[in-house]
Amino acid sequence: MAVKSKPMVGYGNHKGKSRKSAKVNGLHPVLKVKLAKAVGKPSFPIKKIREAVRAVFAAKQQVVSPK
Amino acid sequence: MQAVPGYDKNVFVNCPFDQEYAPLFHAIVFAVYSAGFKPRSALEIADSSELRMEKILRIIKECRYSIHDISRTELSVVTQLPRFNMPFELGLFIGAKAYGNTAQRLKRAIVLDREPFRYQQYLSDISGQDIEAHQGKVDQVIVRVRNWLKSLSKDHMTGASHFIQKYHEFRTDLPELCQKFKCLESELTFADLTAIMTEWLTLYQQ
Repeated sequence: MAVKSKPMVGYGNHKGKSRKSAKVNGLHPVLKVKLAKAVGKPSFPIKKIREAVRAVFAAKQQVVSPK
Repeated sequence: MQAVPGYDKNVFVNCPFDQEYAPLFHAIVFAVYSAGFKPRSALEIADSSELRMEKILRIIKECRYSIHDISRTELSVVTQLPRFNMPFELGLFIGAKAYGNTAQRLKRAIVLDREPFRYQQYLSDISGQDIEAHQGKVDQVIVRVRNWLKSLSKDHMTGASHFIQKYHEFRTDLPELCQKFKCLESELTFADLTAIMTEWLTLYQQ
């Protein structure tokens, strides 16, 4: 007799993960908003903007947890 | 029935564009994005081949929702004349809703002023519309815009206090971001601002 695999449980795109791991930044996945795109063409390449934002977030995390 | 792609998520922001109003304008744009909608403004395209009036009419046609701030009633220091653009564009939006096709008739608007009932002294024709007061404060404008958009959206949304907290975090990060782009905050175009906000919010949510 074939063994039935356990059904995946979880939250939306986070199926199979625990509730705890599904929460990022203290925000429940259900509360995450599908963001609209930016308007028009920015003065700087979007890649550069993304890198800059990532750098600022990374710097903030270092300040919060110096480990 | 949909007028243009994204019609149901587009929000026309009709407000003053001067430096004095900039903190409120940025807060409105941020709140609109945070609620999952797309802010649209006459500032979004610097195409001098398109007449300003045509541009405004096109954007109004593409937006189901709109935010109108009619609080700027002061006379210009230089000309001693008031600015009529905001009430005029509010009138265009109401006209589009009244005389437009089925999709245009679904339009919804919120009108903002500094104090409640002040508008009755200078624009009494809009009595009965949804008018909200923000006292010229960033936090208040975020609360008004967030609560109004929540009333229009079926999606879940965090509370107004979370919107405010997020906005202040964004404001703290903005000078450092501007430094990386070698530009002043006042030099950011609408397209720059929306690109930075969307990237910031995307990472914030991850």
